[in-house]
Amino acid sequence: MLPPLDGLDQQAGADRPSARDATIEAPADATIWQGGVFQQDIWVTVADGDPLPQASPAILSKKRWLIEHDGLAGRNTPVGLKLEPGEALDDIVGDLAQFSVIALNFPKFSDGRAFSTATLIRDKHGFKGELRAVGNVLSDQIPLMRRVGFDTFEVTHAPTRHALLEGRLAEVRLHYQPAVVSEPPVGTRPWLRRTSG
Amino acid sequence: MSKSAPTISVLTANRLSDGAVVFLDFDGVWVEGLRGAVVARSPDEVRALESRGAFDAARNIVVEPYLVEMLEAADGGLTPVRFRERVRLGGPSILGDVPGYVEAVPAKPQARPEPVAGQPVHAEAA
Amino acid sequence: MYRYDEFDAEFVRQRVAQFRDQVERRVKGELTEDEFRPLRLMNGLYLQLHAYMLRIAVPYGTLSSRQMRKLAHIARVYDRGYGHFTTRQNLQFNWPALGDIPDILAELAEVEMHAIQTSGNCIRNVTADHFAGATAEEVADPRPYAEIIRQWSSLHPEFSFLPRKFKVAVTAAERDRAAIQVHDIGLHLKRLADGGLGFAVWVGGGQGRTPLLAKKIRDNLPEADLLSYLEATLRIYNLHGRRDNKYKARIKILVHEIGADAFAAQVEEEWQRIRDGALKLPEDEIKRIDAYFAPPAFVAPPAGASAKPPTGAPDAAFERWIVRNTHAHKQRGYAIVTISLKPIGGVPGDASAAQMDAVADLAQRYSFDEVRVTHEQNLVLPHVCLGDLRAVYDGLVAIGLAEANAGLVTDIIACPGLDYCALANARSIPIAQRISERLATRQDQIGDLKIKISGCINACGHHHVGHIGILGVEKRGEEHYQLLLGGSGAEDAALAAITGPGFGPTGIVDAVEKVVDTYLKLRKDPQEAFLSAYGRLGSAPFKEALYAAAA
Repeated sequence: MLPPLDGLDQQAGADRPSARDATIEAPADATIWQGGVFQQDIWVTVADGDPLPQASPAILSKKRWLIEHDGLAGRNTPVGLKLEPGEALDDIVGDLAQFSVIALNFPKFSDGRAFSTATLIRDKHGFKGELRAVGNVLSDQIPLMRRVGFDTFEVTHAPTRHALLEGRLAEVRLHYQPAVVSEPPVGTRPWLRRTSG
Repeated sequence: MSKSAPTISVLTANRLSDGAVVFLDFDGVWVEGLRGAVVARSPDEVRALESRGAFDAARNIVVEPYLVEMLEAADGGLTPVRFRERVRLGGPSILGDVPGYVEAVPAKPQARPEPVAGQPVHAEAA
Repeated sequence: MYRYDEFDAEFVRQRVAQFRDQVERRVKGELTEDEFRPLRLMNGLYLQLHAYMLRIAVPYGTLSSRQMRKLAHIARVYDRGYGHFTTRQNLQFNWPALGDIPDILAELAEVEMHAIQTSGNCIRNVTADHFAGATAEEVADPRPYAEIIRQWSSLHPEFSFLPRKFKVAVTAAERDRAAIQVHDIGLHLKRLADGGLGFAVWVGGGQGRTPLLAKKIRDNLPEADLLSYLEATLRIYNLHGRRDNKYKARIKILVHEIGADAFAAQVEEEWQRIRDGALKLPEDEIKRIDAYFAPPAFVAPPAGASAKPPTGAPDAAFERWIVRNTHAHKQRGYAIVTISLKPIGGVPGDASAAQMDAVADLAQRYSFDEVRVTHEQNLVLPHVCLGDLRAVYDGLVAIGLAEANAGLVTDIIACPGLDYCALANARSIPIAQRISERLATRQDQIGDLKIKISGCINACGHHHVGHIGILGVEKRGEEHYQLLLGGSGAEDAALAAITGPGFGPTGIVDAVEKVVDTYLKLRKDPQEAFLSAYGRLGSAPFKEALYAAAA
């Protein structure tokens, strides 16, 4: 039969660190990419059945929020919301301003619903707080996410973390359409924009 | 095709670099064509092939490995059971009628200067 | 045609650099195939049965001679000497190596071409009437709007991960050569009551496993509202299109399941919110894009000049070609020429590098440097002076592309099928070849008849809208073909109906011949084309001919 595989590295390629990673790392528990650095997450995402932490900022599901939100009125610590793709905004539109952060989940990176949800949260509902992308957040989608209004990203995918740390997101910085975020125009054609910075 | 003859399996995939149809041979090398392809005759051997395929896909040598059922002739010759796999093995059936078809891809030109994003546009010749 | 400015050129350069980086990361293993797949699809790169396939965008089917020559060059240097023109006006190369793709894209960028969004779950190439800008039938050239949509949809951040692919087509004539009723969005440019230009908007057409004709959801959209309305439509689709089942994920399913009225109402609500925002089309932007599509410097013939092209010595073949392959032009003294890529017994839609170069020369010399790709896998020289038709014809004869069969039974549309495509169940090209050979000698007698062949349920051969449609399936491990009749992709859009049990690879050719024989026997006169006769007669006589016990 086949020659044996003993002695060969069995790690899947995507997880195997590459040589260049030796110098730049962020602590594994610093999962939030914000303002150009990885930070620890100050928020606790609370599972529906779990008790609310007393002292930590807590992110709740919409279902939990709708059940509990009267009881949260007196709470001093900030509250956040996490939405799954396909969850409607209609029944919490009036509450959005109470959230310091809204997290939108990308359970599969190919599920692009949250790009539209983010657009509506910013453009239609005027949400000014932190909009966070969580779940399968990969380097090639981050520039698109930024344009629709996400400002923080929960990133655990190792190659994406390295790309962010090394400042080498391969992106196209010119745009043919206006986006939710404010971008400097290019020339005189009405919709050309560019990513600044 | 008679299904009463025992069928065996070979492992096939597409080579990452050029998408070519390849088969795993006895030395663990991916080759074009069935000559020397390693065959699996038992469930254990099938599992060994599958895990080798997954391993080589993870090592970025091939993509989308899968098993192909073969009929084995008395002289050891292998023929895919499924029609689709016979076409896949043989290449497009109509290449003789394709206008301008050239079998081998010619040598590439010299490495060209990389058009660098961010440089000003040159005036284009008409 | 549109010309890139610095922004457009820099955009494609950045896109090439981005994809080069993505390929490098894939080869190094920093991206798995699952992660790389949507990225490579958004750059038009498929993995097919035998090799990669690169699909290059030909926006609304319009090419310059310089671009055509670059395609020929790529075929020679990076591929196997030929390319395939598709049912969405694009071009496919079937044998590129992964590592060469960034170089190919860099070469394309030099001539203002790319492969952006020709695949993947995003907005695809916007197609248009292949006679646009040349036919008298249109209220205005629809291509400026196709260009505006192309730009707006390029790397749109909100719509890059749709439930499924999204196809838009634009026409401006009553005779629909763009098949708008079988597109996700079909746009019909028309004159509105106030005299301005606007659109009828059709949504939810498509073929594949669940063929459906589009529903008109708006009849009079002013041109200034085009992009905001499209944005609202795409937003509703992106949010609510099904993602649980790949075969139920197109917008046609959403429109079908919630109803056209309910869908239109959702779009309307979002559109009213955004219609006066940033996407309102300024009039001077429309004019600016229009200017790229200004008619070329036609030379009107002297008054009294013959409307017929000079033919010189009697030449029956040339005269047949004029009748069949030329179409009236809006400018007196000119004609629209169809170059058939369907030689008898040949591979539909394929052209060699040498043929592409020769067509480029003809376009440059005789058609104001412009050539079109049609969704029926032919080419068009849109602006040929009548006096030049002889030279064009001779040039086509020299490269074997002078078959006078545009729209005839041998002008067959066929997807690549199992010879190339990993999705296919059966081969389609050999079926097209055998039918073409069988019926060639009678093609003039038979008249207009569109045969469309798909090698699987995905219907890339558009078999649902063939006058005769053929669908390849796999039955008991062998190739098998279903026969459908009476479809149309034009303004009289209709979905073809299956006749009954299918046929094997030789049986299907016989079956098509039986259908043709039945038509010839029963038509009122030679002027009654197949589709009309079928509409009058119904399917019964054809089914009887196919399935009644043979004598």
